Amino acid sequence: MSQAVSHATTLTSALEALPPFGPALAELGALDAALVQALGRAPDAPLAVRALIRRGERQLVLGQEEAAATFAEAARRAMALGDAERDAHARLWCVRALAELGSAADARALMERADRDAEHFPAIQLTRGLARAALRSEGATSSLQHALTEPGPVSRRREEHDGWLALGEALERDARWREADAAYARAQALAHSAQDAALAARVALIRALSLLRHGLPRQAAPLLNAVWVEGEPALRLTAGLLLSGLALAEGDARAAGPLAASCQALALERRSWLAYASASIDLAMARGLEDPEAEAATLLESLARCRALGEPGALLQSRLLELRGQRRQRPEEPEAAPVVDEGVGGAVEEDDEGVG
Amino acid sequence: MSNTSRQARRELVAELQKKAPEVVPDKKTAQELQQEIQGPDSQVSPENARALASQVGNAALAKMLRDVGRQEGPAIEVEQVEEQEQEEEQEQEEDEGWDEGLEAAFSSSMSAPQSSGQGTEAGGGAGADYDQQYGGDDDAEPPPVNPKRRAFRRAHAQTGFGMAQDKLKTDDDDEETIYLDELPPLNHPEAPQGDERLDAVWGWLQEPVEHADWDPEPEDLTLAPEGLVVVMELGQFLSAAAQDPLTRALGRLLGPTAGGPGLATQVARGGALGTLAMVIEAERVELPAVNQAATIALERDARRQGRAAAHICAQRSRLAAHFIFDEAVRGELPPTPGRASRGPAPGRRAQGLLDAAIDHVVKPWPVRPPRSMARTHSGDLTIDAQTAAFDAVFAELIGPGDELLTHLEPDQLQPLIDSIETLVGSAGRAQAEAACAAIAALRAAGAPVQTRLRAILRAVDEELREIARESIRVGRRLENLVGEPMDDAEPSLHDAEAALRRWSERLLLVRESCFGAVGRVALTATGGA
Repeated sequence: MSQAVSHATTLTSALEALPPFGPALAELGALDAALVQALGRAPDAPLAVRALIRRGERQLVLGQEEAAATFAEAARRAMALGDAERDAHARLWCVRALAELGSAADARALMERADRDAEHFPAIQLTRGLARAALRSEGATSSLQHALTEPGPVSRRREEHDGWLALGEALERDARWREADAAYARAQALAHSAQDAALAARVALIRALSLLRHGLPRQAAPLLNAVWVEGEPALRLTAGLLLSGLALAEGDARAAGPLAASCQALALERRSWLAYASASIDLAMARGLEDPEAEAATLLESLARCRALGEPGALLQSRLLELRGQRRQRPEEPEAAPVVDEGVGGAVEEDDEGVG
Repeated sequence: MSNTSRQARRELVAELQKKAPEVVPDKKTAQELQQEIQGPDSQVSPENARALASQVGNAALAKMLRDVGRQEGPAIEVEQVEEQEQEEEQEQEEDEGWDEGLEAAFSSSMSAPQSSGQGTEAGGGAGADYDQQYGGDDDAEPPPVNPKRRAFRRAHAQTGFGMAQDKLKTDDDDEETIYLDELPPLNHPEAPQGDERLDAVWGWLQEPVEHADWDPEPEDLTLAPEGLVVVMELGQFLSAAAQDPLTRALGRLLGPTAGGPGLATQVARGGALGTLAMVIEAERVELPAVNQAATIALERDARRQGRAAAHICAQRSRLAAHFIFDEAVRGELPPTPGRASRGPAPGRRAQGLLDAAIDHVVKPWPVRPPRSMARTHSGDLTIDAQTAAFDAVFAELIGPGDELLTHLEPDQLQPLIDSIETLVGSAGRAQAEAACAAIAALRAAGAPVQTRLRAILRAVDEELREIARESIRVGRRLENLVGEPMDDAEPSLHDAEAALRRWSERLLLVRESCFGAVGRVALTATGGA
């Protein structure tokens, strides 16, 4: 029996040592399954509480709805054991899980006591800050800032990553965008260090969006480029559309054109018609910068392609109408435009025309 | 849209008409189409339009033809715009005083005999009281309920998808609609695939003329164009309610950009980013739930129309949640073709997002918790220690107050009576809020859910009436306590306070469960979750 308990203890320690980031998630799942078997042979209530908290954490990262129930069960068992710290810890996790499920009222009801109980335990202050942030309650920012001052052990890195991300969002809401960017950068670095490229790309995009919102496109561009290269398809398309827009704003048709063409293909593949329209308009504008006649031709070509697939392409038609409107407003004969210099040839010509 | 822009567009369309009619072949290359549309002397004749429709878009052509068909000049159009603006201002003013009126009407209906929510056309009911108290005019027409432009839904046209079928039919353009029905449809292969399943924003952006050639003038800056409003609305919803931080970040970015290249470009980019934000959110929440939640959140007219319908119902003594709903959607949707099948219940994440969407569109008022009565004898639990200490000293200074301290005075009951009035008023408001939620859900899910939504509203209405009736009963019991010795009255007072707290909590629960049920109906009707 003691050997079984020892095995379960080893497994629990291994479970707690691994941060639930991308590649480690599968390993955590295997460890969890092995632990369930071990605890089945040698039941141990304290180990079960620890294992449940870690399982809930993994479920939360994976976006599984069971996370809240897992944390609630952990809290119930911890309370039965008289383990006040783990009870408060599990409750705080449960608050976060409930808030992420959209059950804000339940989360608030649970938070009151958990927040009060957690005050006495320094080791769970980051969880407390994250729970507060999930509820967008006052004090979340300072709570997170305080909890994130010192880097913790490796096992806590996922929580730290979430903490920096939540802190960035809270700071951005308060228009403290420079601090927000620094917080996002810390989250991105943690994701990189855990070799979770997908997560790093997401944080990079969040960071880029924050910079764009605050009028810093040049700082956002490298981040968007990184997402364009490394991100998943939906993220790539998002980054690509933003990048082509930025390039067009700079008048850089050579950069915008290929990007927009790639986005167009990606959008077509996903049947993402608004993205297709946006990319097609960008592509047309990029070509139009080099050859004004090419813009409408590109739009029509794009329109024909999407209509062949059953998409009406309303916004492409809108852009065509806009082009026509712009053409109408342009003076048809530039040489007939009035010349402002008095007493020189132009004015004389105008007078001559009038007389004629 | 400015008059200048309209004028420019009319000139453009007129120019398109100058060219002599010619037969357009069925299949055209992009270059040929360009010549057709962009050539300075091109014309859209009915023959050309039929052929072009399959290549360019029925809606665009319909709009062009409608514009060309109009004979009234710019002056008439200016008048129309001014009238519309005046109507909007009037509606805004009505909105401000509306809530109080509805609460009063509901309170009156509760005190009227046989106020079971069925409504009577005979005089003396809630509507009569409402008119008497708030100056209702017998001859006045109820405020118009502007029909909302129906969103194009790809999901509703799984086969033979064509814009003509989705076009809103009005009395004015019957001929045009018939004409459009003759046009060849734009065939869509089968059920929506890929990202096109997320059509919440897409459905609002199918009128090409609405999103083109925006040349803002100072007066236009007060009203953003429709496409941008939709995109911004989606951004507000996602940034507040989405569960993924990346979706929230994208939501915060949605909106017009300063110095952007044109309306179509801005709307396309905003719509694309909004849809991609929904795609990212769908990694956490079921995709149909994300789409339906966004569709509901974009039904921003539902609240205004629900309130306008409630006003009409109050005037007709038919103030009940399901009657408000009937009034708001009357004549808007075709008769129910059948009942929607009940799909599985949505997951908690999906339910959370749907609840947030309904909250976003209804914007429910907070329900104030009932106040407690201030006791003037010992044992008062409602005042703080400092005030109690001061009261004790003060009592010593002025000597014992005989009747004031020993018997219940009407003034002492006032906080509780106020709370009852507030609670009854909140119940009335909740009726309209429930109806608004159902209106949004109906528009998002379509006619098949109408019966189920109405059934929910009936049940909710009964619950709300019970809350109001019980609260009024508590008030009557309290009135009977006036003049009783405080010690004798205390148990009843305590019971009354507890009952009011209970009914107040129940009101919140009823409203919450109503919104939840409405959201579930909207989602399960799509076969999602």
